This record gives sequence, structure tokens and C-alpha cells, in this order.
Amino acid sequence: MVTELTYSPLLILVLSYFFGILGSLLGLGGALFLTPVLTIFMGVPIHYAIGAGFISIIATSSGSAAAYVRDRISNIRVGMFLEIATTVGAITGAYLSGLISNQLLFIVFSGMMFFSAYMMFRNRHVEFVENAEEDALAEKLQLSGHYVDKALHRDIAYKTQKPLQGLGLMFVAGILSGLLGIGNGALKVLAMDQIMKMPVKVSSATSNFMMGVTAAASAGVFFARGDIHPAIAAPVALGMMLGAMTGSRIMNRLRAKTLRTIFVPILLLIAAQMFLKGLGVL
Amino acid sequence: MDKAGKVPRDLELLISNTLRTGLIACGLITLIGLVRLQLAPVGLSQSFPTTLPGIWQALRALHPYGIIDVGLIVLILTPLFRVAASVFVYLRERDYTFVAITLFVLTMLIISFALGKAG
Repeated sequence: MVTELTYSPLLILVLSYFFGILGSLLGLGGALFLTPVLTIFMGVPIHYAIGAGFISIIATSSGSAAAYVRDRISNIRVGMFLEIATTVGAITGAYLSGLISNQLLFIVFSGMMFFSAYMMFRNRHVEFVENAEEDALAEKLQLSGHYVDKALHRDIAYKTQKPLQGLGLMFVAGILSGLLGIGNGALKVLAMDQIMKMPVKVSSATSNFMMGVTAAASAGVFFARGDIHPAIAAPVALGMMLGAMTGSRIMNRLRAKTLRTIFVPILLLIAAQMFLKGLGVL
Repeated sequence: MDKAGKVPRDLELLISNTLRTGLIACGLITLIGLVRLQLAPVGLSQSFPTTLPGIWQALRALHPYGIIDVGLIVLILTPLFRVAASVFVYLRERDYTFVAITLFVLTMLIISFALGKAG
């Protein structure tokens, strides 16, 4: 049973708005920042923070997916194909989340934060692969595509590779999403650009497009378990929604690079705190 | 339009519109619930409904948590409608492989909610 909690929905709304802006500018899920802040600084039980995480993912992913789909950057077919694995993984992860200890949740969460920080650092310079070999299954499912790169002012065609290996890694990504209430863009983008050889921009747009469905597959389980607290999830949903909108407006006027240089160390710092909390030091 | 990665334009628009509508509806409903919560604060440790009948009762009593939960459910269902809409478009395109894929994903989502209801 939860003791009387003292934080205010209004404060959570303001924080979520801020992390919604930050998340959309950095290309990270806002939940990656919000969950640690809710748990470490506000004393919110981790299961409530994770439950609110799913809500924030669906809110931000639906908002940005609508825009990406219109811009035709995301590969809808690849997204739908990979959702086979992420949804099964997400349900599995949601169940596991109820079984493992809070300590372990903190440790796994911090691990994912370290990994996301590394991926953000690694993708500083976006590059792309052109005209790789066509994969037989990818051809059969018509998973290849092309998109117009606004920075390079040209249409880039790409051949999608190894859909089955991508599916395997996506199952793992789905489990971690369902376990921690994060969008796990880092692992999804890794699967698409490293294994399936899709352009990074297409990978991150497609990953965003899929996130909402992956999160929805876990959210049902968390909702029924009573881990989605309305007084926490509602301000998170509203704040993230508005934050993501604001973020996409100011994106063109801000240098994402500068932001990343500032936030990689901050992300690492929070990850270290999550790790210590998991060890019971904090 | 080349064959590779062909996605019908109306599917793209349908997806965009489904997502946007769900988002706006969720935003408005949760906002009403939050305003009510601010006007008539409920203890955070007070229990909240986790089943559909429970939410319905809370809603009829205009309890802030009941209103908020309806908004959250609309949000959680938004991706499900997106997938369901795709099934019909692929059916029309006669792309049966993708009808099967989207149906599988839809089934997973429904199972998740069904498990949730039973849990």
C-alpha cells in the first residue's frame, strides 16, 4: 500500500512539459529523463513512474508519428512488420516488470540510460548507406524505400536488409520497453540502422512511429495492475504532448548539437544516480 | 511511384488523422479531469479505478480520477485504432501478407487489454 504522497500534479505537468521539449529536441524519449526525476527527486514509487512512462510514450509518439508519416520519412511497412516482435516483447516485459524487484528495475533502467547516451553520442554525425544488396525476404515484403533528405536536398533510395535478425533484436527492445516504460529508441534505431542497414533518419522516424503501438501493448497490463496512477499519468500526458509540440516548433532554430554536448553528461549523471539507487546507496 | 515500399497515400493520411484525433481527445478529457482535480483535490494515496466498470462508476460520479482514466484509455486505444485502420487498407490493396501482419499485431494489442481486464 502506498503512503500519502506529497507531490503536486501541477509540478509534474511543468516537468513533463520541459522533458517533452527536451526529448523531441534530443531525439530521446522524455521518459528517459522523467522516470529518474520522478523516482529520485520526488519519491514517486518506480512502478507509478514506469506506468506514466507508457502514457508519455504514446502521447509523444502519436504526435510526432503523425508529422513523420506526412513527411514520408518513416517506413510504415518496416514499422508494421517489426511491431510483430515489439508487441510480443512488450507484453512479456510488462509481466516481468511485476515480478522483478524495484532494485533491479533501477539498475536495468540505468543500464538503458547509459546505452542511450552512448547511441546519442555515436549518431552525432548522421550518415547513410546507399544501394546495398536487396535481401530476398525484404524484397518479398517490399520493405525497401526512399525518402527525401531535406538536409542533402535529394531523394535517397535504400535497400532494407536482414528483416528476421531485425525482428529478433526488436523482441529484446520490446521486452525492455515493457519492463521500464521507455520508448527505447536507442535499441530500435540500432536494430534498423546497423542490422537492417536503413538510413539513420528513416530508422529514428520509423522507431517513433512504432513506439506508440509497443507502449500500448504494455499499457493495458500496467493499467489493470493499478500502476498507471491518474494523478501522475494525466499531467505527464498533457505536459509531454504540449512539450513535444513546442519542441518540434523550435527545433529548426536550435542547434541540436550544442544541446547534445550539454545533455550527454547530464544523462550519464542521472544514470549513475539511478544505478546507485538500485544498489541501495541513495 | 515505384513498387518498393509502396504505401497508399490514404493510409498515410488515415494514420496521421487517427493519431491526431486520439491525441486531441485525450488532451481535452484529461485536462478537464486535471482541472477538477485541482478544484477538488483527492488524496494521491486514495485508490483509483482499474477496471472498465469501476471507471464508468467513477465517471458517473464525476470523480476526477474517473474523467482522467477515460482520457488515458482513449490515448492507449489510439495506436490500436491506427493498426485496425491499416488492416482494412491492406485488405483493399489485396496485400494479404500485410493483412496477416497487421492482424497479428492487432491481436497482440487486444490480448494485452484482455489480460489486463482479467488481471
